[in-house]
Amino acid sequence: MKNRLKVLRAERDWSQQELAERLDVSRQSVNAIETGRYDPSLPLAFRIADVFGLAIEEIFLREG
Amino acid sequence: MTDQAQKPTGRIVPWFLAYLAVTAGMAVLINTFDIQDRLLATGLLVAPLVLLVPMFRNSLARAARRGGSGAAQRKYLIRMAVLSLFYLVSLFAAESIIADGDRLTPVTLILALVPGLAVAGYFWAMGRYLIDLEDEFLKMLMVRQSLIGTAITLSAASVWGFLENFGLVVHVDAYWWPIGFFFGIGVGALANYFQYGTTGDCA
Repeated sequence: MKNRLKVLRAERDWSQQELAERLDVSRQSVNAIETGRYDPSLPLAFRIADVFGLAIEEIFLREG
Repeated sequence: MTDQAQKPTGRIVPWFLAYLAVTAGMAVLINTFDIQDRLLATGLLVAPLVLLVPMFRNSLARAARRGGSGAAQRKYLIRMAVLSLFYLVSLFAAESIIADGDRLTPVTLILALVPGLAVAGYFWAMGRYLIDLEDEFLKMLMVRQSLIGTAITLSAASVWGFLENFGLVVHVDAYWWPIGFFFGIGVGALANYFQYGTTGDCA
């Protein structure tokens, strides 16, 4: 699953660590999600959407 | 704050690998020189645990730099350290007091049981860590590590068991299999690194 996490983070000038702290997860988690190596659970996807003030489908995109 | 600034200062994996290598070296030494003194042999096998002290300190430092997952990791590390101390003391007590051929008494039975129970405690600590860990990604990494470690150890034990049964290899005491499991955990951490770019918390 593709996502716009890196772009959204850059727009807010947040480091991976800052985003991780806002989400209460590890920096490795943010990195793995950003690079598309790990797809978050639905509850975590909702937390990410809340942090950015966007809907889930505005952050996570279907493949292809 | 940059991403680079959050990198932990202490190394963990090299110390763990050094521990495994030196322990294996000690085992070879004991076999090569046919060391029969049980206390000396135990001492030689236990001595490499000193290499886990810097690993423990670096792990605590890494845990302290983390947020939510740091608390779970800290508790895990402390439990493992306490269990290791318990294991060492109980093993030396058993080796010192029980001699080969001693008849079975409640005291010798308890002394012989306790080191194994201390090792069983490691698996309890790993289970508690999985429960305490709230970070779903790190939890997934640890489950993967444990499954890889379990698969390697049980496969090796199965193959070795049959080879031993047909007299093709020497006897291996069963307490070596948990050590094989922890080696498998290390392999699992490498697998995590190559697939997810991080070894997770437990390596």
